[in-house]
Amino acid sequence: MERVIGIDLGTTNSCVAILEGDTPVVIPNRGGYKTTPSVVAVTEAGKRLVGHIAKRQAITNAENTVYAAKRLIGRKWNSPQVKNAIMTSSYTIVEGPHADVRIKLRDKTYSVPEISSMVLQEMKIVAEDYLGEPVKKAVVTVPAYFNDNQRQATKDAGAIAGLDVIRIINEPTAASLAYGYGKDMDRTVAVYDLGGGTFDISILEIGAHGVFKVISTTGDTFLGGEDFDARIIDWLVTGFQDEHGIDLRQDRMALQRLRDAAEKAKCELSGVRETEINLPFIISTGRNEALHLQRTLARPTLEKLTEDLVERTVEICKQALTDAKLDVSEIEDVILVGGMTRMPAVQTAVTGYFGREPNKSVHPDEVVALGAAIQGAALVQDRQDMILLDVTPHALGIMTFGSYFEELIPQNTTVPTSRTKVFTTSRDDQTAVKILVMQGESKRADENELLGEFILTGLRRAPKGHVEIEVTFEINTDGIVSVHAKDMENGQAQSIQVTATSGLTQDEIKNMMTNAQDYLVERRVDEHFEAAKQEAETLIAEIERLFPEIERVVGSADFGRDAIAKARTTVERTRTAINSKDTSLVKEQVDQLSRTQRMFKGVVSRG
Amino acid sequence: MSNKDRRGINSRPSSAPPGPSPIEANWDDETVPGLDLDDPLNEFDRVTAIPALPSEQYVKSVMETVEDSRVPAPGTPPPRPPLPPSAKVPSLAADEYFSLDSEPPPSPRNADSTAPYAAILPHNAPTARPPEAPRAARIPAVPPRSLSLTGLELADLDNSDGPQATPPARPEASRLDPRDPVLELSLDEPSPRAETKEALAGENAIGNMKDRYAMGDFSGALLIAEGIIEHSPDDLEAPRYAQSCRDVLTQMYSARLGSLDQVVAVAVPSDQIRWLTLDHRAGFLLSLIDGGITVDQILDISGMPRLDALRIMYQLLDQRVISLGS
Repeated sequence: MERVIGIDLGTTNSCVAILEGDTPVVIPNRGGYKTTPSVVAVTEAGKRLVGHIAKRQAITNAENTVYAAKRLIGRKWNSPQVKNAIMTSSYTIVEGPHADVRIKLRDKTYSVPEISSMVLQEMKIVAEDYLGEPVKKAVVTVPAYFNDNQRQATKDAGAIAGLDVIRIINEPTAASLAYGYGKDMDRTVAVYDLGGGTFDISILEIGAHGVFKVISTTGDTFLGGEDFDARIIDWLVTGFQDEHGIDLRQDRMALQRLRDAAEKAKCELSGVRETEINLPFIISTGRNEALHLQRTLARPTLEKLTEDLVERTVEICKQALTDAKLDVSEIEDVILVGGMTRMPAVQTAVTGYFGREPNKSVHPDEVVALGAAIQGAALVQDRQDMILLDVTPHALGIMTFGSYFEELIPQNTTVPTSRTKVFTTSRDDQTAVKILVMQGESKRADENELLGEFILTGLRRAPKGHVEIEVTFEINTDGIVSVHAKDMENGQAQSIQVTATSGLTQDEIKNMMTNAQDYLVERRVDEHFEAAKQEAETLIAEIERLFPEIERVVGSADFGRDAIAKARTTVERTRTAINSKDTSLVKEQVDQLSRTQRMFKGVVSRG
Repeated sequence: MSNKDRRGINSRPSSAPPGPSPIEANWDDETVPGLDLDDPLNEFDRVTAIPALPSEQYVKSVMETVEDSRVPAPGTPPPRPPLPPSAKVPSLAADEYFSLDSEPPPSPRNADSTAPYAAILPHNAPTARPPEAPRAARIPAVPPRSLSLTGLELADLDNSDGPQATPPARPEASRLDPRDPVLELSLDEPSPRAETKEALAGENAIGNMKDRYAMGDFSGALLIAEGIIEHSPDDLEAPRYAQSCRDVLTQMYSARLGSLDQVVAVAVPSDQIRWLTLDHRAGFLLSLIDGGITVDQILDISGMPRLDALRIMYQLLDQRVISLGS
């Protein structure tokens, strides 16, 4: 049966899982880690780095390291979030040809889906290495507030990575699935998601027939574990400056070490009451000496440093309940998602506000991927009892006179669906109407997202309000929105089909997919070359180790000198083959080296 | 100098500047008293001079006195840039291999390879001597002593073009003996900046750069070249020499480290690290070691020029602060 992986494509970390039998399991990467940083970099030598290795040089190579691409995916160039990212990001963000967003790394620019595809490709490789077979299908999760463009961009990222994203599901929904919430439940659940870069609180209504309704979702896209790390860094830097008069933030290497150490200390303090931060040779002075940083951080100190951040999450939870028009007592369960929820102070705050112990039996940084894996398996097994029904994540409607937004399809309506409303002209003798199709929850049209527009002409001249125009919205199972407008008097009609766009054309997506495949092929070929190279180098080292002994035994004879000369030539040729990166040539030389090694060993054993 | 060394010097191409230089008769001290030098059958009639000085000092003294044959004669074409390392290694016949007889001059820097770590004294703490870590089993990536090369012989000069200021061909790393004292000099930390400024202070900065290159002191030549580039950005030769030096040094350090796919491990207990004599860059590279990272990955994310990272990694390995394994 075809395998489907579930991928939690996070802002700071990603995770991949699969169903093994009836149990979803997270697949660790080659380093043994169950999560992989969503970081992509290009080194000075042009090498692409993804994951942990990219994160280790995120500060020393800041201009060419992309992090938190999720904050940009599917957004337009002129959106406020993009403008904010331009000001705060260390990498260069430029405008794309379709008013979309591109990122400049070294001498190339990449679309945001392309960057995300590199992370997805890494997760795909992790899964394929584990399973020992190709993986083609995936379920990928997104935040509940993602609009259609952002969801489509995420799907495009999957396509570029060689994955058929058969479903996009909401992160809080996936988390609920992993905790076993399913078809026969009727509960109201709060999902508290504090990750590495973002905080999201979602209120879900789990109803009959597997419908997970997101009643409200809100959060802060710039509040997460990295902010907690930053507080620790500030504390360390200030202390060091007071002691030595040196600002460690001015040195990238020191800052990189500080960041890694701060994150490590923060994680350790979830289990112990204090931890030592030891950074020898953190900075060199101008007097030919290097200074060390050594401090002990206690949990109360960390909690004091970050208590305002935790309080902010509670304030946002209050807003979410207000939006859902619910009282905190109506929340029946609380689910914790994201590594930061391991922090005792966070758990205490959540318990204190919601008045109940949160569910934390599943690893909070794995739970979303596990839920995605469960949904993926249900889809391929066609388990109707497990399949979630797609719902529209946002309301759909049109703009009306006065720049108001008239909703036709409410948020969380299951698809397929169709709704009709009758409108009229807004001024006398109006012979044409412009239908602007919008998506969002605001009553003001300019605060919602424009999906498309068209014009219906040929209306009869009449005083305003006398001509009736029927507008119908349809959404099919593939999420394609069609909008029809008809003059009810003369039957004149016009329509458009609105598809979400990530800002990339199909040709662009195809090119990116090809490039990604080339990279995949290159990576696989590189692995064969590396294996041959390693074998060759081991044999060379062994032969060179035997040279002195061979020279001693047979070096004085003509045949001995010939043999030694030939052996040296073989070694030189192998080195040349390695430099040329020709795998087949290296393998040929490996055969010759093996023969030489066997001969040398024989001579030495007889000598 | 022993007869062995003399034979070695006679049978190898010289790394002195190109062009014949006049050799005074009083250098020729190999003659046997009483022999008739005009006798064509006189087997002791050798043209080559055998100086009594060690090779490095000899080279320096020759450079000070001999006419600079690299100054191009009028009408000669401009000097060629340093040659890149040849992609193809020529296959040599057995008689083209050099003698295996000579031993290298002793390296002053290898005097005591088992010396304990240099201790740095914190404010009032006593000197600490960490326990000697076992030497890491390093697989040599360069051939053992098949060539007895000294600083004179490292650069295979292209003398066939006559007295041109042609940069010497870049020596191939595979022919270089990493234990050679001049290479040891090259592989150590480059001279402090003060030395570079002194070298630049005079009018013969380019000459100094070329001299060091010819002697195989690539670190020194690189330092001077970078200084020339800083002071005279339009200079054409210095960037070429600088790049050539970087390439050679990179090859040398890479050869010393062996396969870059080896996993790096810290060989010193963590509580002893602060007693080492390191700088913040070495400290940064040490901080990257997590038990799974390879040499190549460290070079990728070192945040410093690759050559600098290679040099530091080599020094850490040489000081047994780190070990390499598969």
